[in-house]
Amino acid sequence: MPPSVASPHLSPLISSYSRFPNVWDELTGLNAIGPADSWTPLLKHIGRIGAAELNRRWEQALRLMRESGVTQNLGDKVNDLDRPWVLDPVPFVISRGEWAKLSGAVAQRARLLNAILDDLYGQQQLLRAGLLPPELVYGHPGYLRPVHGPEMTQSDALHFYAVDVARRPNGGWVAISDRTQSPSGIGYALENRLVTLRMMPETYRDCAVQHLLPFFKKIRETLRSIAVRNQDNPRIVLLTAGPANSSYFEQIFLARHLGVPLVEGNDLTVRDNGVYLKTLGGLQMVDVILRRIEDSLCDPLELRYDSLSGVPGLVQAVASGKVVVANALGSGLLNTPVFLPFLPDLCPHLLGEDLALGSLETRWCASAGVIEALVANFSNFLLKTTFPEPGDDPVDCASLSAGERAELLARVKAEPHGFVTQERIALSTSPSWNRDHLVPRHTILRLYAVATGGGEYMVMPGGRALVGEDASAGVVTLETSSASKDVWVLGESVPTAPSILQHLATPGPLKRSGMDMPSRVADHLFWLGRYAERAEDAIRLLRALVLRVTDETGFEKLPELETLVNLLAQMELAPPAIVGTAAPERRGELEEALLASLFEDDAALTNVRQILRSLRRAAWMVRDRISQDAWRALNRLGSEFPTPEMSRQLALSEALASLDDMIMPLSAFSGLAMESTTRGPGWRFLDIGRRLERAMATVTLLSPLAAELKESEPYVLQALLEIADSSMTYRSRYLSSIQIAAALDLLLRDETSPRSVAFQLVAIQNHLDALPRDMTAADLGTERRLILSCLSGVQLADIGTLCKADKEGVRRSLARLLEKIAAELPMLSDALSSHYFSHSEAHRQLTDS
Amino acid sequence: MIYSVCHRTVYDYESAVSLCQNRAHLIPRGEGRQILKRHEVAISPEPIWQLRRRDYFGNETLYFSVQEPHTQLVIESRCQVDVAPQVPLAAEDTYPWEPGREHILADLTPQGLEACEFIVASPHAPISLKAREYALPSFPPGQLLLNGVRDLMGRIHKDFEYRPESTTVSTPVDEVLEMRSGVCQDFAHLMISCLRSLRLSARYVSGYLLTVPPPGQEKMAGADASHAWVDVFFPAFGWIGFDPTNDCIVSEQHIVLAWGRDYSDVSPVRGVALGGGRQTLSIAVDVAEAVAEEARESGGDI
Repeated sequence: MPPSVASPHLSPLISSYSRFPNVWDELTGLNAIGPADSWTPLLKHIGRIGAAELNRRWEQALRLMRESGVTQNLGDKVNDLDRPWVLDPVPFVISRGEWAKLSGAVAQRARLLNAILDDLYGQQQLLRAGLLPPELVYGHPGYLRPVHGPEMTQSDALHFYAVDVARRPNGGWVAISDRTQSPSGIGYALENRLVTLRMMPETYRDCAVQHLLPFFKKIRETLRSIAVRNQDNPRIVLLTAGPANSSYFEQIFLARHLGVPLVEGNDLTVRDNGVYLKTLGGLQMVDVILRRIEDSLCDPLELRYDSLSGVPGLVQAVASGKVVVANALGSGLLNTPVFLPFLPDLCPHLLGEDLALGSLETRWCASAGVIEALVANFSNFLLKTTFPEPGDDPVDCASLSAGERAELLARVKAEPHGFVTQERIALSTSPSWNRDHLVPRHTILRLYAVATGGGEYMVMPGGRALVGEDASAGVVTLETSSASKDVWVLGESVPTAPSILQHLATPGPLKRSGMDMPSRVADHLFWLGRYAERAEDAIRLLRALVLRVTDETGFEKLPELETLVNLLAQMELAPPAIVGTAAPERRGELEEALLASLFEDDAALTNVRQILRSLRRAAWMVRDRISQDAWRALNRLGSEFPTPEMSRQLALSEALASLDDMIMPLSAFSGLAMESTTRGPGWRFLDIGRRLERAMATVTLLSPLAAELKESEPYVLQALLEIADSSMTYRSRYLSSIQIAAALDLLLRDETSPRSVAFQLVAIQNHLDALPRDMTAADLGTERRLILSCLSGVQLADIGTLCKADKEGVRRSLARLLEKIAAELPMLSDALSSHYFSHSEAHRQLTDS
Repeated sequence: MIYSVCHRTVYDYESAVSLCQNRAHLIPRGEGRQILKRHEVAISPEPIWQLRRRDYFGNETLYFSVQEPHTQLVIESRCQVDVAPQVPLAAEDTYPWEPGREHILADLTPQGLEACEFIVASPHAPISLKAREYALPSFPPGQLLLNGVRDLMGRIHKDFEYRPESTTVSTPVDEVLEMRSGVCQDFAHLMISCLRSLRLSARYVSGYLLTVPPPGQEKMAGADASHAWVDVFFPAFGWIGFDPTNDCIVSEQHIVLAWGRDYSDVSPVRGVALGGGRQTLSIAVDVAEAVAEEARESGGDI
């Protein structure tokens, strides 16, 4: 009888745990009734915390993850980026002894695969000796011929390795699949650890869980040590496929943690056989590329020609030894299961040891006897293509109808080289939390290793457990898993470190960011600033309109309404047809049009929903530059904006509330984005974008004043002051008398008012002065000339002259000034783009001759 | 026979290209029946960086990059090559095709492994059921390998129309089978696909033909541009070239530039550029007997 049952906290958890028959369970083994010793401390803690409290902590953790945008997008669409992943609060526990064996076996497997890669991209003794069928290598789309040869195999090929493992019913570990390409998930594992730790700090301490910190330190060391040049302080970059990539969040997280810039293919360029980062300050040489894009996509000149994410010329740069790529180009070769049957013979041959961690029973259909075995026991197998292409999912033979079965067998017999069979195993289970008690769920572990030099590896003491959706047995993959959990490797003693969190967050070497910002990032920040301001301007104008239309006092008392409606059309927030709907009898039409300007989900419109979408997208593009808090504000903005379905039911009066609700997170986002961004070029471009947009919006707002508005003028002025958030300032200066001269001075020329045009122009001018430029050039440069022209126009204008109307009631000099600024600011935007962002141009293929 | 070759490739761009990176296979192989007597490649604008390296298949490969803004890129390759005819092989000296292919797979010598490279599918010469069906009538059971290959080549020549402009470099083999027309590249890819679909070993050869034929002979198709044909591996013998476009075994009029699994491994010039807008590509190839060329050179113009 297990001793632990005596614990009052433990027994209900155990008695309610109903394990599956005939599979290994982490808590109980194959048959046992009581829990394994390694789980007892954790279960006691969970029992003591209690279901209600655990649920509360769990909710909080999930909310935190959602708000900080911890996501794992499985689709490729930018709009789809938001599937938060679910963290199971119960970690996967492994005892110290079990871990010693398992981690040793994982390290051996990494050594073996590294040695195989070294041979296949070098001497190919394995083929000559008949240990591997040549056509499995030569016919493999992942065998990259341009990287074969002595100059490409100077260091380890497999710097990072991951393997999915599970247990057979007898408790023995088995490797389900190897990841040799560019294993993802190290960052997720760290994030899982941080959140789990926050949920159960005392449990973590009492269980003496082994820390992840030494592993991350080792990653930094490895990346530094593989550099050929600049070993003391190499420039390391993390190459990503961009925000549409399924593990982009993790890449941001990892890049931040390792203290290296996250770059896309277009940020890099090959010059004179070296790789350079395109930055605002010019080209900067790169020494190590940690790649998170598939190797075949890394160089459109020599590898896949249709790749848009690669760096043309990278292969030759690697061959010349000026840059090192991790994992080495070509390492994806061993991702496929077809090599598994050969590992037991290759391991003694290459390492002089027996293979410690076996693979799923896998056989190549072209080998003798395999088809016969498949025919005899068809339902026992999974069938996979030898060289899987996207869309080639494994077929579970047991799930096929008689007709499908015959068809598949015919295909395999006609082309046995194209298929492998794999055994189906009953996956082991581990306890999961279902808000009330523990339930068994099929689980696989993804474990990680990093090369430490000389073909040796360090295995992360922990990892990521993927948990199956429900009770049904089957293949648990990243796509089908419903949750993931932290993996706790139990240590010997209670850790002495006072704060593990602090330790984990230890930054890399100190540095100042600055001119090494990629041009592409500056470009996106500029637009982020513009969209954030555009959203705010649009909401302020709409709010003023909605406020008036829903006012119970009625329409006839609103002489400014017509002007505001025209402004809406002028700012392209509503179709031109809206002009004229200010008339009292067309109130219904106007209300509908206002709702459409806010909520309509139509990509052809530039309404609030679309602006917010652009804002979000721009923010996504520079996700790694935005602080967690700012990101949280942006997420709140999205969650408070009505869905298309909800908005259809919405009356205009209710819309007012949601407009008010949006101003806050928007201001918070702008404020936080500004405040938490270092005062380098990134911050300047963000602010230039914002100032430029606000100047343009204010100029538009003032444009109705270019003609005398007669009796409606005081009302229009009041509305404009309100929209420009300047009513308070005005009132404190002029009390209640509304005069055009005073309003124009405040909104146009007053350099101390943060809403005036002049204030924006001065701010932009200061930024431009601080940006890098050729100090020896004789002239000002286009953008500085334009800003000077706008600013001096405003500064030299005489308010009296601006206010004076001619016989037709037109204020000529005001009209001229506003038109001039309205024309020159877009030119300024273009000039900035061509000066600073031209590096962000994309490459393209020439026609083959 | 000694030949002089001039191969000029010109890219014209609508707007300036600020950076281009290129890979060229323009230097003939100098081995076996071919001696490379001299060669030069002139590039304008002058590349800031260039490098020569043997590629995976042993082809002399030129890498270069132009880093100054330009609206035209000119690559002019000139060489002189001494070409001897292939060593003849009698059909009786070849295996029947079925044991022949087993022989290749079992051969783990460097030559056998090399042959194995060209049994497997490649981007432009895939293993295809349709190609297999088309090829099978040429390979009845027990057919001698050489006879089978000759028969297949003859059928391709007869069944397919040589029609420039009917295909692009990326027209898939199955589509060419459907259209029954194409150019030398298509016929080479088709023949390779047919042979590989039977698990025989065949590789793609890029090269040139004599532009003006010797007196009394007809001008061959494909002589004004770079040409392509097929090398087939014969166990215990080696590689023999077949030209399905002209239905002939490769002669001393065929000058070898480079070989690979298919066109994508050996395209004469490939590049990636920044900027440029619309591009136009023009290619001119001139191959003449060396003596004749010297006589013409005094006339000034090519």
